[in-house]
Amino acid sequence: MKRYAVMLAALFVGGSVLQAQTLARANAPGEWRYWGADAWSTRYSPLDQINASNFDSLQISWKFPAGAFGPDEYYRTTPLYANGRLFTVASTRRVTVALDPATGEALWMWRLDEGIRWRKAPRQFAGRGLSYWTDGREERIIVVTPGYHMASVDARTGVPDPKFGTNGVVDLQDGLGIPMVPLAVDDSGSLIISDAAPARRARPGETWDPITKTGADGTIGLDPSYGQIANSSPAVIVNDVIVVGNSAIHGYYPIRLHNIPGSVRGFDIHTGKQLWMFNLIPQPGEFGAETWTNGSKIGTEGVGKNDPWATYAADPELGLAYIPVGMPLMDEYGGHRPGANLFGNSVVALDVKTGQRKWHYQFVHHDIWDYDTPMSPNLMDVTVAGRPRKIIAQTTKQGWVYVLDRVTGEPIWPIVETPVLQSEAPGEKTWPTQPIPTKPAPYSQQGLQASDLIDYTPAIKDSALKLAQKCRMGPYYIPGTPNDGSAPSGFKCSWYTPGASGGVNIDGGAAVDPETGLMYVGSQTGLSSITLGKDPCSEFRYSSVHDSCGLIGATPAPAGYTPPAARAPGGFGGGRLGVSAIDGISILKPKEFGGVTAYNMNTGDKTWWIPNGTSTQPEACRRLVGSQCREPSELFSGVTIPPLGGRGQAQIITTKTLVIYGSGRNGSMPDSLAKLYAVDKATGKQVGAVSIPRRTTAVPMTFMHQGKQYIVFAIGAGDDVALVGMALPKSQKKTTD
Amino acid sequence: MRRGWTTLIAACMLACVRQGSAQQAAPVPSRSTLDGVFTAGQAAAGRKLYGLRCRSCHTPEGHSATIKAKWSGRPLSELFQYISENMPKDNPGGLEPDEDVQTLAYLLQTTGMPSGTGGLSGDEAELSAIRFDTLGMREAKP
Repeated sequence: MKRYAVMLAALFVGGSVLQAQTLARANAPGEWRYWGADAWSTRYSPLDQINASNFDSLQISWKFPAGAFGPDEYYRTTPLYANGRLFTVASTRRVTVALDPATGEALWMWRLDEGIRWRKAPRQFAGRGLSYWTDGREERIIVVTPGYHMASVDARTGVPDPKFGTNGVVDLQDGLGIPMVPLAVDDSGSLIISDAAPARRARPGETWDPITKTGADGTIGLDPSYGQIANSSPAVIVNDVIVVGNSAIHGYYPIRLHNIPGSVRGFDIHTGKQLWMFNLIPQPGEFGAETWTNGSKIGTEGVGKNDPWATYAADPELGLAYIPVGMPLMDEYGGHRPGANLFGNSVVALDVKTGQRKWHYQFVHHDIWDYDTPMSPNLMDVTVAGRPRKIIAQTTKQGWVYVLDRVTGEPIWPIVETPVLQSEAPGEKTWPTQPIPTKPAPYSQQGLQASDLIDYTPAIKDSALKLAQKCRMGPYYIPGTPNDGSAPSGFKCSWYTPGASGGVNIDGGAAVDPETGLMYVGSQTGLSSITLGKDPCSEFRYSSVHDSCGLIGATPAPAGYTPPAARAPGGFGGGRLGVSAIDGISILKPKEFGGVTAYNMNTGDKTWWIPNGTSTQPEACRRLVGSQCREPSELFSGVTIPPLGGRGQAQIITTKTLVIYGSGRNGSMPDSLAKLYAVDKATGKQVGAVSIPRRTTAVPMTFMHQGKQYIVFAIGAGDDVALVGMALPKSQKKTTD
Repeated sequence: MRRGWTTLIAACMLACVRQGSAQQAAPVPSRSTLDGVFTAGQAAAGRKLYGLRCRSCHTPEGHSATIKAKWSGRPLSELFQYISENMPKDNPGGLEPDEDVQTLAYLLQTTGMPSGTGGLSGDEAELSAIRFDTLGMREAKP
């Protein structure tokens, strides 16, 4: 395989530095063999047929109606291109499909009927994509399904590899050290938000009722009393080892105090044999177990998740896979799991041969903000202070990019353990410090202090401060506050920024330019608030305000329980405590946050910043009144508001000369049209924008097929989901070849 | 028999609410979600938004049941407030006002509420004047 990659690289690329990196990144130039283009997750392509001079001429070449395979959530898939074929997944069943890259026509499809395991899968969607492998003779596509099976199919035919697992399929629920049992269901729906309405262990002799769609259908899976397991992102294949992890239930509104811990496993690409397993909640006796003060054994109160749900990166030369890890169980309250909770909110470098931890770095200790590590890190070779460095740059929900030596895990620039606010929630013991990078500067708003508030006039400043002081303020990492009056400060809410969706989240993340060392981060910024309450029908002491009573699997309603519908008006939510706008205008002072931020990773400095997309409304109108083009209130009369970052997370790739991005499903200015944008890599100046059918819903990709460069991206939700392929018209292409 | 009795009470309640609203300006709801308070266009836009922003956590079927259980009989402004301040869960308050309205329209549609011609607005006073009634109330209407 290595020799094959070397040959391809030598054929396509000139320049010794790029050639060496191309080999290391394990992607053939002009192809897109990994979710993030290559093993380093650069999202970079050296192609330049589509450039600033012709970007606006891009046309839709084809549209692949993925909804034909069934509905999806929003279509969050980035396809792969390898050896003349395009590979994608589609629908909540995660059907695997090969397409003709020139026409979007399906060449083959493969799917697995997973019965109850699919029905009760916590992440029932198409997923972020696939993995590709070749040794120069054989080609394989690896898919991990919603029901947590892993299949190896022939990339040319879609036929499962008979030498892999059982008839091409490995059951990933097996081999975790948790009993496998026959499953049954009591309802015909899917999981509700987190762990409500789950599957259960089948009773002896129980059968399937095809009318009610309940009972036992013969499916075998993990004993549901341990919790649920899922998969959202593809495996990364490094040196013939498939490195695969899992995702889990949503961490908000869970009912039960424990769930299945996250793990990473290595499998032989040829046979599907499990080679190793690394526990992301260290079990008793393992390194890091002491960071779980009340114990870390599976089934212990507070133990669950730490799931590596995002995409991964790898350095095949170092033989390391880099695993971004999510947070422990229960997003907003950690009173049931005192301690730093390794390896939650970390990046873990694993030796792909042995599964041994080479190093790890924890970005958030004892997380109560839902700051999962949400995106594959980006690997780069740069020069810092005159010294060549192999770095790993991890973008995060919390608005910082953490830059480490990818060989040792040591910070490139100092990261300082800094005292932070402590929680006032009963039973909660927040960690006294959090690691704050000295460089690079954040890309999203950090907390809320008086200096962050709008102050265009004294009256506006006064109004903003009054509103802000209704909730707990402070710099980064403000703990959530209970709504029951138990907080000594008297607050019943806290400001929350960045929020649970970042900063960066799976929609955005970063692309890099391996030639210049620039990194481009798509993020969002904003202000929200958080209030903790007791869910009367959950085992947790606190969560964000919710009522699970009546759901299948919820705990019985306590004595004296009053249903929300019978409570006094305003008694269900947090009331109007956390309103963050005056006359429709956010009290948060606009800064160069969110949008697209470019960093020079040789120096750690910000290079440029632009908003996510452009508005169709006159600039003056938008600035005056935020997103609504209407007359400003008296308070804001005559005030000009600086440019806003746009909402949502830009979905970015880089090419030889361009940064190309879609605005994302939430993205751009509220009044803007759906577009694909191109900006100059060095300056951030927009050099092109073309209309697309809908806003992008996943990171785009690009490749060269039969002499033509294509850009492909996913759009839509429900049954209206599609991949769109764009390329230059014939006349344009000829002039630029 | 039992159903008829319930229906009678519900009809009386609705009539009383309406009578009350005639005498007091606000905040007693004077309209019902059974009156067609959103447009089909709003609900269609809300359906698309739902797929992009809500479907990760909710299903229309599950939502329909929980919304009826938690919000029926209450002013629509409360459900609107809850959505606009708390949703989406991963980005509370992250929807634009128009999007909150469209989402609300779609949610009402999932509970079986009819569309109309007037359209829903995000105005709190206007929403306070609309009561979220369930389909049982439809049967109760004269």
